[in-house]
Amino acid sequence: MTPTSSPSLYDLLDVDSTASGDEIRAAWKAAIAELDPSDRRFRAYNQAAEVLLDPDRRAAYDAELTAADDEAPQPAVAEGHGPPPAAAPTAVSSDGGPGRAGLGAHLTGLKSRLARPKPTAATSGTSAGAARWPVPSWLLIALAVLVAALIAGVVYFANQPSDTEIEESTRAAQSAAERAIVPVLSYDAKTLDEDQAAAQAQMTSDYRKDYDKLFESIKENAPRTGTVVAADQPFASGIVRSGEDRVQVLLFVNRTVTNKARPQPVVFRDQVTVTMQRVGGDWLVDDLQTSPVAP
Amino acid sequence: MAVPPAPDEDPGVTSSNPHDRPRSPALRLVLLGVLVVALLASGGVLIWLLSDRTGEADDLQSQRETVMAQTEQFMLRMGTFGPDMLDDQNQMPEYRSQVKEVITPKFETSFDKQVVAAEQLVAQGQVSRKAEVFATGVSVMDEDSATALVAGSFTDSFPQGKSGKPVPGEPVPFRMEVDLVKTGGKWLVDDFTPITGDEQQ
Repeated sequence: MTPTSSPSLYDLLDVDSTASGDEIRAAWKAAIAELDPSDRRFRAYNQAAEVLLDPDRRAAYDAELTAADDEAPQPAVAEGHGPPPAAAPTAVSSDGGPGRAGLGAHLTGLKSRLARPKPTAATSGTSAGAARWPVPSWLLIALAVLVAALIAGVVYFANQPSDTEIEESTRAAQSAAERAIVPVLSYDAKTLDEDQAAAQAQMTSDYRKDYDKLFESIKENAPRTGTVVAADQPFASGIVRSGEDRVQVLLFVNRTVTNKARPQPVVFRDQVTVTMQRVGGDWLVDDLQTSPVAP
Repeated sequence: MAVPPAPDEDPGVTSSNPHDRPRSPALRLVLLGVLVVALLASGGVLIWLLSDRTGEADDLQSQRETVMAQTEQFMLRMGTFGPDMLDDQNQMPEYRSQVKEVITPKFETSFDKQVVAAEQLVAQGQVSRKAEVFATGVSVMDEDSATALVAGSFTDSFPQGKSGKPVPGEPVPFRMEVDLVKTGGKWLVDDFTPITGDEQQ
């Protein structure tokens, strides 16, 4: 190790002053391995290697080092990563010659410039700007977490129905219920199969099972009684529960019933709470609740 | 060595971390830019989504249920009375107060006229009435007014026989359209109309 207070070319390449040519070459290669040729350190390492790998120039340089040490001994610098000595630049101006102190000061200044690019250079490109204002890892991590949370929020809310969608769905279901209730509540003893099919088209598969059971008894009795049930279009309707895929609608509807025993029409004044379910793009009847009332 | 290698002199520029290559700061800067753009984009989309998900639909349903509940209360209170509610002056003060709790002052005026007839009927005929509500719904609603539909039945009971025990008659169905207004944050019944649909036959 060279006992100097300023960095030497050996210091720059991080080799001992007694290092062989191969060791110096290896150190030089390692030093420039990850440097861009435009990097200022790249040139400094090359210059150091040119001197130390040339036996004549190295010998001359070693002699200068020795002479400089003898003439102007400097205070020792502590081992480690301390800052360069502040007195070094002063030595240049005072000595003015190519002595050991002057070279040391030159190298110190060079290293300082390498580590701290000039302001003009710092603003000239992204790399320089990034070096001047480094982005800490915690900031990147925090931003990434925040972005992930926002994206999760977007995905969640995108899958939630909007207020407008709920309102539009509710109105669509109400209209569908008003249309569906007529075929669902109507039948004629002479056209039972057609009436059943028309009603089934308005129902979900679940409710169709219940309806079919009820309609079986109608099929047994209606031909004998000659019953005809004609539901009118609902004259009033209201929303019980809104929703995007499931809506309940209250309908006021009158049904006119005739049969062989009662040829004069009898009007039943019904109130029906219809549960509408969206299946695909259609609103279908999934349930009916009514309280039978006397005409 | 007495002096550390140049790259280690300023930790703010580079570090001893082997992953912090000279290009790393630039890469980090690019990554920062990408993250900021993603942050702004996702934040903007989220705000846009939330602007139409303010819970207005939930509030509307909540108001609808309040209107239905108040309509049901009105029909039950107005349609339920009997001799046990009469006082010494053959009036039904409890009945009056119960109904007036759910109607507007404007409706009180007409109610006060109608209730006299009901009190006379109860006092003279010992008639009692019980209301039952089957279903309610809301056909129209805005911020301070609503129209509700309600269906149910009234069952009147008359004293019969020597014991005078009240015997219920056949339930009489009703279908009503009830108008409500929001007064002081509370939904109150302003009017009601029986509807049959016959006019549309």
